[in-house]
Amino acid sequence: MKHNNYHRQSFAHKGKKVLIAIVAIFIVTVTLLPYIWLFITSFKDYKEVFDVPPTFIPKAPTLSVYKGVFTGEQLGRHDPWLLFFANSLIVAGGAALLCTLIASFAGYGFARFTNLKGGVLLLILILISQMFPGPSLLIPVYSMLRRLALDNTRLGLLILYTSFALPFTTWMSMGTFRNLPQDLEDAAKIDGCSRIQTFLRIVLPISKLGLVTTALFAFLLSWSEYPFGLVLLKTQSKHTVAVGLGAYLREFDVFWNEMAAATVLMSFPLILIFLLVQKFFVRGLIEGALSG
Amino acid sequence: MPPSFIKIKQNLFQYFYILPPVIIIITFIIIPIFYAVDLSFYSVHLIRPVVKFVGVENFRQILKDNTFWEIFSNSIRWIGFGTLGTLLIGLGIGLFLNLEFRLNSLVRGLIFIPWIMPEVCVAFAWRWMLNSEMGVVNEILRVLKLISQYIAWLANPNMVLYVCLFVAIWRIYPFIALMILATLHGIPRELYEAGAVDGANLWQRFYYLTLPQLRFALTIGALLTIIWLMNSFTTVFIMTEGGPRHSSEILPVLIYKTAFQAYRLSRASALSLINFSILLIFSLIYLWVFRKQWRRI
Repeated sequence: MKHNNYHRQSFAHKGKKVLIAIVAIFIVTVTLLPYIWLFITSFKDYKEVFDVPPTFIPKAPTLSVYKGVFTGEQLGRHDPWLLFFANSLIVAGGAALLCTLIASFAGYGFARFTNLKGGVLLLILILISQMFPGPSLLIPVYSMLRRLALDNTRLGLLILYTSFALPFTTWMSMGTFRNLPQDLEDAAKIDGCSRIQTFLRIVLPISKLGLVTTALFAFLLSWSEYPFGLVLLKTQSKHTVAVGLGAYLREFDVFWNEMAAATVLMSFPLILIFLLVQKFFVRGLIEGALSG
Repeated sequence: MPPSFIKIKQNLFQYFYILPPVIIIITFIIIPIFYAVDLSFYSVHLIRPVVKFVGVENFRQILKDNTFWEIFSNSIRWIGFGTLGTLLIGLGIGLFLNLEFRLNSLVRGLIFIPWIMPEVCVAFAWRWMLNSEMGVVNEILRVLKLISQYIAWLANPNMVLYVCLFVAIWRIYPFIALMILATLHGIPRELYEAGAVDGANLWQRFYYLTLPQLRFALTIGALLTIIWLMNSFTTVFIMTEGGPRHSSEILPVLIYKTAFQAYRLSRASALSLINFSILLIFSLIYLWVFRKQWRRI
């Protein structure tokens, strides 16, 4: 009887395991399907993409599609993709650097100088302005930057993306610094470090992970941002990858494989970076959101 | 030097740390809102140069427009169903990931990818997969015998909004799921042991023990989802541009089209303010939920 019971339990246990495996596979498939499908499509030649029903494995996988993205033969139009990538790197990289610099100073300030007059009010302002960047600001920001002659410039976009990423990153880095023990700084002070020396030599190095999370968040946001780039950058040579890709995707409904290849190229750097830093990056974001 | 002067000097120095982001945020996020208010009272047209003060005429025109109400109701459905869907899926997958199994951390890492992928790419990927003739979704469903003939997902006016919404949910649920998971990890084990001793079944344990612990995460998750959905433009714009006709158009897309396809900048400003006011309400609720945290500051 006891034996029997044991068997039944292990059977139920196995059933549970199988069920978990099925659910896990389902979740992962639905999650990754678009990316897998883009990848598959990008290796199909220009005829095979039109196959009905679609083929799941490319009959004759070819890299020529990726070449086609850059040479633009099929389209009869040449999009300067390398330039788009360079623009995105400048704008997103610049925004990430600027944002990390400003946010880490401010985060430290908010974490340590707690009795500053108006501090809480400023924090509330920062917290709420995290919600605003989006289509509601599209028109006024466009009109304002046009007046400042910052429309159609990469610099304008860089500053704009910095300001959009600042609320959350300032908040996040405040959380990072608040979790650092104060004793360390006190010890440095006794050793004769000034406040700024303490900050630069002691505090920043040990909060590396927080800084990287901040920079990545700003980079991610700027690399992917579409609507503001769309309305602000008129000249094609200034387009970021998102804007260039958007224009390309909106114009055509035929060169699916080439569009897929371009899409893979745009998201690949992000996914690569993400897979490298996944663990602490996600934790940093979630903690930032929950400690709001 | 009198001590109070040293104090002031020290304080001033401390403001140098915290003021830069505040100044940038005020310049590029707060001032534009007031600029939109100003703009909405005039008749600025991107091509015609004549500018006239028209008062609330822009708002009156918008509220009289039937298309606006159609799009407004799309937006309400977008946000309502979207938030409900995101929370349910996020909760379900958060609970699932709380189970112990091998490769759990791999699944956790992979499901975050939709959130990392640029929205432009996500929207295109789904537009291609949902293509009525060559799309892979139709083929998969047909192979699984779930449908007998291909469906025109993005051409059916009754369906297209929800199809786009599915994609939007697919993109944001990972964040909510992992937020819920983080909270679940924080629930002390003793709570469940006590529950087991009292003979609570699975549902009772979930309803009486887990759910109350998740209240904070769910509230924050709901508010973030609402705000993200109100700000979503790219998914719909790349997938359908709001079509067919206006059936998948939501307010952000209308704002863009009014300004850059119909060139009515002031009217678009007025629409922005309508969108913004709703956003502001939810943002204030968000602040209010966090009120306890401020006291700690």
